[in-house]
Amino acid sequence: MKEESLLFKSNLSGLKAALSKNPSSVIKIVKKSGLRGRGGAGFPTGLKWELCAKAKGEHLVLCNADEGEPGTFKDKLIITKAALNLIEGIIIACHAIKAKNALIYLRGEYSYLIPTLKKAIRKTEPFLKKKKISIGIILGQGAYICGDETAILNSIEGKRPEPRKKPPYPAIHGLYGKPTLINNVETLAMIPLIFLKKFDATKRLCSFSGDLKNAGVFEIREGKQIGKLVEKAEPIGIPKALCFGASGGIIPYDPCMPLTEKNIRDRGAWLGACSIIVINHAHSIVELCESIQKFFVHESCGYCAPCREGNERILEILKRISHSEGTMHDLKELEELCDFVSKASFCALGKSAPLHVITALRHFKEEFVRRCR
Amino acid sequence: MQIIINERYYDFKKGETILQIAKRHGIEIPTLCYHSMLKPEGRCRVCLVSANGKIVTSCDTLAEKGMHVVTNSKKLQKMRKKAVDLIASSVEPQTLKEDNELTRVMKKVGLKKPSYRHHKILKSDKSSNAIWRNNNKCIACGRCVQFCEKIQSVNAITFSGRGNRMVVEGVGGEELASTSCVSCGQCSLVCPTNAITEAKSIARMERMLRNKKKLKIVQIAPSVRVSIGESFGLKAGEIVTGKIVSALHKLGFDVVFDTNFSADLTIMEEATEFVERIKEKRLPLFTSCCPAWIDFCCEFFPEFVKNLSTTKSPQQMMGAMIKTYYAKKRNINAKNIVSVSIMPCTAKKKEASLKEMRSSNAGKQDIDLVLTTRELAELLKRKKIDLKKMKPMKFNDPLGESSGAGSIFGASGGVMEAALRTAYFLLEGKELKNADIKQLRGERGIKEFKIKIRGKKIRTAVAHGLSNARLLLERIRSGEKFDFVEVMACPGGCIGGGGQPKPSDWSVLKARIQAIYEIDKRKKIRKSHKNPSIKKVYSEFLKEPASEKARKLLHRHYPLKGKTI
Repeated sequence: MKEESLLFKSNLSGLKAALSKNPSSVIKIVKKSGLRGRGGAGFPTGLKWELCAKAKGEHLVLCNADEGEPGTFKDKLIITKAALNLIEGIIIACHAIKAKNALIYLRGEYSYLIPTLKKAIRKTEPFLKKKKISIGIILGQGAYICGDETAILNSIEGKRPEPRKKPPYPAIHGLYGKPTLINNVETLAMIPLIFLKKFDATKRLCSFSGDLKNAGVFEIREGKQIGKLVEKAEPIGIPKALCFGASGGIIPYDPCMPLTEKNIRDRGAWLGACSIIVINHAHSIVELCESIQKFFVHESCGYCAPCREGNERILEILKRISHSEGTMHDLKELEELCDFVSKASFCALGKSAPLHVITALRHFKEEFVRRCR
Repeated sequence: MQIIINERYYDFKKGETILQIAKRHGIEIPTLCYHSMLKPEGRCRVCLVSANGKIVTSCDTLAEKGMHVVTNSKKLQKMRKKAVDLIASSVEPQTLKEDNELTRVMKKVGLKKPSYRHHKILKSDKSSNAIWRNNNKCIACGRCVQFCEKIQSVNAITFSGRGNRMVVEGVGGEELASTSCVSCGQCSLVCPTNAITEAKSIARMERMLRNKKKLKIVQIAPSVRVSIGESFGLKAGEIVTGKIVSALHKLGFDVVFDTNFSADLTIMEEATEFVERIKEKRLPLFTSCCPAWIDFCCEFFPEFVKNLSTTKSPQQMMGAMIKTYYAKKRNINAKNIVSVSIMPCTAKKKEASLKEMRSSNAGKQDIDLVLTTRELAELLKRKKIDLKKMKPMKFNDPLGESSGAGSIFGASGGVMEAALRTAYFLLEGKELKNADIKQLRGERGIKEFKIKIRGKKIRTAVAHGLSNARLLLERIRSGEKFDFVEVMACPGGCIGGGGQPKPSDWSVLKARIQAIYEIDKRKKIRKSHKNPSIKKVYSEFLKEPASEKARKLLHRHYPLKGKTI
C-alpha cells in the first residue's frame, strides 16, 4: 500500500464548503460526523468544539503536533503529504469557535517541516486575511510530556513543561487562561473531509513498526483482523506480541483478533494514538519492558512522587529480573508498584507509564518467572 | 450542600476541597506536600482518598454535592504507605533519623523504614551566609519554590532537570548567593525535611560558650519570646520572656540584653529622620528594620533605595551599643566581648556579616553570631535545658529596659505604630491620646492609615510578605503618594520569620501576633521616647537623636544599585 493514497487531498474545497456555513452549524456537522480525537484520548471532537465555543473570553486554537509517542509517525506523514488539509482544519476550527489566533506546537525533531507548513499557510492566505486569522508555529524542545495538552500550555507560556490539574479543562481555561481548543494533527486534517462528505469515522491512520519489512503508515478500518493488517506490512519472523507505543501496553499477537478498541481494552491495553509495534519471537518481553521503562524514567517530568520515584524503582526491579538476579518477591513487588504508580500519579503519563509492565505480567508472566530465582 | 465522608454526611461550601472539609471535622488524612498557606499542587500523592470510587488527592479535589468519599480503606492505607515509602527511599538515610514532617508522616502511615535503597548523591549549597540547602534531603514537595515565587515574588529558586534527576536549584543553576535571594528564609520555614535550613551556627556558638576569657553578651529579638515555647510543647503565643533570660544565663551567657530596647532606640532615630524628611520633602520614608526587605528593595526597586531610612536595624543598633557604650561603661575592651543575637530571622545572619556593621574600633563585627529561634531551641535541647521549667529572670541593665513600642516590632505594622507614637510627639509636642493604632494591625497584606499631625495629613502604609510589598511599590511607582511605609518580608512580620519554629501557618502566626500586642498592653511605658533607659543613653552617651555620634553608630549607607554586600 502506498502512503500517498491514504489521504484524500481537499485542495481548499473542504475549507470553502465549511466557511460558507455559520459557526454553530459547522460545530453541529462535526459533532454529527462522529469524529473523535486522534491524539489518544478519543474525546468527541464536536463536543470539545462546542464546549470551547461556549466559554467566555478570547478563543484560541492550538494544534498539537508534538508527536512524541514511540512508534507513532502518522502526524509527520500528514504534515509532509497533506499539510494543506491540516491548515484547512485549523481555519475551520477558528471559524467554528470564533478564534483569531491559532498555533501549531510542532515537535522539535520535525523542525524541517516548518517550510512545508508555511507553504500550506501561504496557500490559504486569502481566507486568513478575510477571516483575520493568524497561524503561528511554535517548536517543542523535546519533552515527551509536552504531548499532554496541559503541559503544552505551560511549555508555550515559558514555564516548566509540567501537566496542569484538570479541571479546569483547556477548552475553558487554557493558554494564558483563555479558552483554548487543542486538537491533534490527524483530527484537524480530517475536518475538511467532513465537509466534502469524504470522511469515514471507522477509518484511521495507524503507524506500523517493529519486526516488519514494510513498516509505515496504513489506513485501517476498525474491526479488520489484525493478522491481515500485519501480513500487508510483511512481518519478519513469527510475530509474538503487539506493543501499542510505549504507553499502550503489550498484548499477545492473535491474527484472528479484529482490531477494535474494545478488543484491545479487554486485554488490558490501550490503542491510544494507534501505533502498533510488532514484536517477533526473537525478542524477550522482559527486555522490551526494561527498554520501555528506561524511556519513562527519562521522560517523567518529576512533578509527582509516584511517577518520579516509582518509575525508577520499577526499572531497578526490571533490570534485576532481566539480569536473572530477580526473585519471586521482586515480581510481587513489581506488580504492586506498577499498580500504585498507575493509580496514584498526577497525569496521564504517570498513569499509563507502567501499563506495559502490567499487561506484560498479565500475558507473558512465564517469561518473567523463568528469569526469577 | 452535603458530602458523604466515611458514610457520614458533612456540610460544605462551594470551592472547598475534600481535605479542607475533613480537617474541619477532625477526620485524619495524612498530608506531606500540602501547606495551608499555599495552593495545593498534589505532588506527593500522600493524601489519597477515594471519591465516587476514583482515587484522587484530597488536597486539590473540590468537593461535589453528594460526593461519596472514603478516607481509610485498607487499599488506601496501603497506597499511602507506598507513596511515603517511595519518598522516604529517595532521601539520605540521615533525614529519617531526625524529627521532621516526613518522619512524622511515616509514623502516621505505619512505615518503619523505607523499602528501597537510597543512592543519589547530590551537591549541597552553602554559598549563602543566611541559608543552606542540602538536596540529598529534598523530597521535591515544591513548597519552597512556590513560597519563593508566589508569596515572596523573589523567584530565587526553581526546579530544574526532570524525572528522578529533578532538583531544587538557584534559578539558572546558580548558587543561592548569586541569585536574587533576599535571605528571608521562608523556604527553610516550610521545608518538611530540613533540606533547607538557616546557615548553621550552633557549633560555633558552643565553642564560643566554652571560651572563659570573654564576656558573653546576648540579645533577644521581640518576636522570639512569643514563639520559642512551641519548640518545648507550649502552645503558640505563650509569652516566655523571663524563662528565656534564665535559660540563656544557664547556657553560659554573662549578660542578657533586650532587642526591644534597641527597637526603642531605632524609633528615636527613625522618627527623628521622618520629621527631618518631612521638612526636606524627601518622602516617602521606608522602614529599614528588615534586612530581607532591604535586599529586596536594592535588587528589584533600586530607584527607591534613596527612600530607605538610614537607621540600622535594632539588632545592629544593639550590637553597636554593646561594643561602644556598654564596653566603655564596664571598662572592658570590645575585643573581649562576644556579642550574640537570637533572631526569628535568617536574613539577620547576613546582615550581621555586612562589612559596614563594624562600629567599634575592635575591628570585628558588632554582632559576632546570630542564632535563629530554631537554633536556640536545638541548642537548649542539646544542653538538656527545659525552657518550661526555668525560673523567670529579668534582663540586665542598662540595655534591657523597653517600652511597649519596642515590643510590637515583632508584628507587621508594629514598627509603624511605634514610630507614629513618637513622631506624633515630636511634631505635635504632645502625646498621642490613644496609643493603639488598630488600623495597622491584623493579617491584611497591605494596611493603610491616615493620621492628621499639625494639620497635615500623614499617609502611611504597611506591607508584609514581599509580593504585597511589590504591589505597594508598584502603586508608589505609578504615582500614588505615601509619606511613611513599613515593609516586613515575612508574612505576619518577624513573628512569621524564616528562623521561627515549625510548623508555621496562619493560626500559629495569629496566636503569636496576639501575644505581641498583649506584651505591649501590659507595659506601663508604651512610647519609646518615654523609656528611661533610652533617655539615659542619650544623656550619657549619644547626646540627642541624629547627633554626630548617633549618625556614626546607629546609621548606615546603602549601595545605590544592586544588592548590599
